[in-house]
Amino acid sequence: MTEISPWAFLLVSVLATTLPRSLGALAAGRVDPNSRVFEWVTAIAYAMAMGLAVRLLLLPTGPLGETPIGDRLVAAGVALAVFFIMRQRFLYGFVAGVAMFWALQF
Amino acid sequence: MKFLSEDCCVPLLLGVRHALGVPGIAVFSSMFGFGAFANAAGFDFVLAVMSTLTLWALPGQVVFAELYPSGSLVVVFFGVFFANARFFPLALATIPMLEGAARFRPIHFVYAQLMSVISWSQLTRMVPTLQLPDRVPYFYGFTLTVIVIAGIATASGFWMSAIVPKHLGLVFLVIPALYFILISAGVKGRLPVLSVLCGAVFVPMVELVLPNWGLVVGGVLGGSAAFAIDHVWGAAQ
Repeated sequence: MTEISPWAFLLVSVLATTLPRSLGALAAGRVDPNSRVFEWVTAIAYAMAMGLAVRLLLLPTGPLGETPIGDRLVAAGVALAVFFIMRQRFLYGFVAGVAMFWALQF
Repeated sequence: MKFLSEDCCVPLLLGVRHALGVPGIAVFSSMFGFGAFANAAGFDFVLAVMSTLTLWALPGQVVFAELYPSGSLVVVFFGVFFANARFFPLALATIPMLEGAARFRPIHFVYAQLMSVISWSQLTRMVPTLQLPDRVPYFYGFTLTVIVIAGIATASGFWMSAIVPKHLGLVFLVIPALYFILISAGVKGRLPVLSVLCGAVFVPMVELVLPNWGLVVGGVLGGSAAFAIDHVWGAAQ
């Protein structure tokens, strides 16, 4: 694992989270949230969110990595299909994907 | 105290009541999955719950748990920073909704720390029906309730993943992945869609070449590529 205390990692993570929140609070009302710089930062955030999902599905660590990749992809596919069929209602897609993955693990 | 005056109680309790509906269910299910995920990543119980209460942003929390085994504080910092960078524009959008065009006050730091995508989304829907003085108590009621739900859910997921059968424990671990897939699938607009597609390609590719850096480097490359494509596309039109 690592020799650095896990609490040091949490502290670093708290700083990394507090920084954009605090800068946003300071700049609220003074900066145009539609500027190109904000668009770029937002684009990175979206790319990371999806990249995180793909990484968790394709290259998971721990016990999830022992499950067949096909099971994970089928569950994600079912979740997406139900999500779009139900007019992008999060809970329906979420429950369908979880139920499918559970069924595949029996 | 002004915060507890009768005028404040009605919007405060309205916020609590709304948080206990669909938003609370969504927060509970995702944070329940995070609790199980944190357990599998080697966190102890207190660290798992504290990461929910202090970070209060699922993408940053999952990145923290994913990158923690890398052993690099730098990797964790940049991973969490970019995962949560959206709070910058989100704070820009949220605080004026709470206080109108008010100048900066230190309490704005508290609003920024408490806010989340779900509270921003809820405020956006409620602003047309809430008077300006009612918005802050409503925000407190809503967001403090969902934070409490998140803490309880993390603790529950952490404990439950250790005692349930293996197949059920695996289900808890897949929850964060499905959550982010669906959140990403729901984006609207050319640039967000391009960003999601580029992130899906760049992150795993970079991860294969630079293990542990895929999320940070791939995310920056993917987001920048999407930004460039969007710019060229817009100019061409």
